[in-house]
Amino acid sequence: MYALTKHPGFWSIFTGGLVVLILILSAVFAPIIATHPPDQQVLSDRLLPVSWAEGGSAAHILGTDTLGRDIFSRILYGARISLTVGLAAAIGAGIIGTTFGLISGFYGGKIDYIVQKIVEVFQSFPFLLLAISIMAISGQSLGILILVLILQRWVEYCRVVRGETLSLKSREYVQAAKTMGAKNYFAIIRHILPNSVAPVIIIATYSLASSIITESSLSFLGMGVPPHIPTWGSMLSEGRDYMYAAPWLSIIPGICIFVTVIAVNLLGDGVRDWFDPSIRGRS
Amino acid sequence: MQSYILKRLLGVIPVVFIILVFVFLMLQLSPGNPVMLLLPENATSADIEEAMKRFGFDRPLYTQFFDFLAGALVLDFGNSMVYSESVLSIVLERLPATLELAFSAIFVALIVGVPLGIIASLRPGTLLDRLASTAGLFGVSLPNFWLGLILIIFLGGTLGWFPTGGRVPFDALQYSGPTNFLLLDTILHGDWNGFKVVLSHLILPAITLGTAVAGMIMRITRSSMLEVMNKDFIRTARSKGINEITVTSSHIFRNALIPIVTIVGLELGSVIGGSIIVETVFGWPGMGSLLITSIGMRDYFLVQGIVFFIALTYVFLNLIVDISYKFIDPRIRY
Repeated sequence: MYALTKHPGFWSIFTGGLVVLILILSAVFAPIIATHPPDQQVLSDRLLPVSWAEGGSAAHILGTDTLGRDIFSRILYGARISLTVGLAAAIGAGIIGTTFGLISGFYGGKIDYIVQKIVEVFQSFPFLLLAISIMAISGQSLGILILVLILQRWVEYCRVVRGETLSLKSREYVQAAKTMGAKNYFAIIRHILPNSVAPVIIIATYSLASSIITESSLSFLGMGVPPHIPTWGSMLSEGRDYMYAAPWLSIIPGICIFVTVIAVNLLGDGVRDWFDPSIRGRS
Repeated sequence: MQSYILKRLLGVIPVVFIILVFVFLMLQLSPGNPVMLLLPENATSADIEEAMKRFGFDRPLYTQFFDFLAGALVLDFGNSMVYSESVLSIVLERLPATLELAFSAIFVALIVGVPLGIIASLRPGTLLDRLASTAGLFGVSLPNFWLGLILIIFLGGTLGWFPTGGRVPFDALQYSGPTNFLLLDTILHGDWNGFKVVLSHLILPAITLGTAVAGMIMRITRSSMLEVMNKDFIRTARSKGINEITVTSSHIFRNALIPIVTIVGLELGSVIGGSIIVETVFGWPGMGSLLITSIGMRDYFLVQGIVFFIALTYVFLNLIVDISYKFIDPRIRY
């Protein structure tokens, strides 16, 4: 255990991982932990401050919103959306980006040229603009939101995995496998993919953080998931009109987004240091 | 050098074409009939048919595309349905506000991120390094729309240090132009009071938009400086007796600059995209806030124009970053 704690990145992984684990458990067990149904409106209880402030109620730990809905319960249900969208986007983009990266790097030539041109086009467009345009035209839906985020993130996986593949395919063990008659897909799946896993995991964590921010940004602008679903971004947006009268409406969901993103980024930093001690403390 | 610039300029053409295709398809790929996006929700079938004819959606797709392309070549995206003005004139009026905010944000990011990164890299592993690195991590993790609201509540509302929205009070400047970059205009007119008013409105949005980029620049500056510090030529410089300040500024920093410029280029996308949110939070009259209000008002011809111009701005800013590599590192050959 002592040796483990001395390993580069251990404490970042431990701290970030612990917070992420608590968030995932809170989201999964939201129906049990939540003190109220997230959509229950009690107009007589509207705009109650946090329980420890003057005028707060013990029944509503983090207060209530303009319609008298319990903020703590909505935060828990909001975590479900943020994490679901973030994880689905990170995994979806990971699968697509890694596949294209492997094919592009391994086969090279025209395939590589075409894939890299597509990557360039994706990088030549400010992503949030693309996301807003698509959501504005297609209407708000969870599925489309995830698809839009996948469109944003796959490029990074593709570039990194391609680079790894280019370096790995000339290694002796891959050449040996091919000489012994291994098919291309066997060499890719058995030899190149497992050796590209470390950078993919690192990108996946940063990708998760970035997707959570993008999802909440789009929800904040009213272009994320449909309005009836509570999300941290939409809660924050609703609180904007009461910035001075009820600042907790904006502050609490913001803290949740911030803590989640910082925990995921910390996890990413830790995983990077763990897999590549040569860059320990460099960034 | 000239041939490189020409080559890069030519390389922009296919990207601009793809952007135009996307902008054209924005309306066409909408679920159902494209005119449904342009009409009120209670439009009758007669209204829809009339609008189809009026906007030319009843013609074959390729005819519509070539007409759109011909218009786009002369930057004609039609008229806004809400403002009854040409899309081009509305966009050109708003463009300087967005660019002024974006440049200010990058300026904030550079004056905060680069020194923090240098300080952290000069004392790796110390408390100073940890503090600077934590600040960098916080910077990249803060959602800008939340940071904006917090700054408005505390620095704008509670402390009253800065205005909480807008670009300038309508009666603050007695002139307009010549550039519509208000900071620059006040300087050109020698109007220092106006300069102060404009600057006070710009500070909070610029900090909000620049914080994430500052965090990223800090992290890259630190890692890039640490990498260069271990190179042989730095040891050689030190062994020649060159003082530490010169080694750091002329040898380490100069060689660490390329990744910093690269990250500024890559972050331009997030600055331009982020400006859509920050403009909305601060009521900044730029293209981003106009985009959101136009979507709300179903003014889709204007939306098309804004999307095209924002994307075009991004492409050209990236081009400038690419060309600047040559000036920073003369070893780069094209």
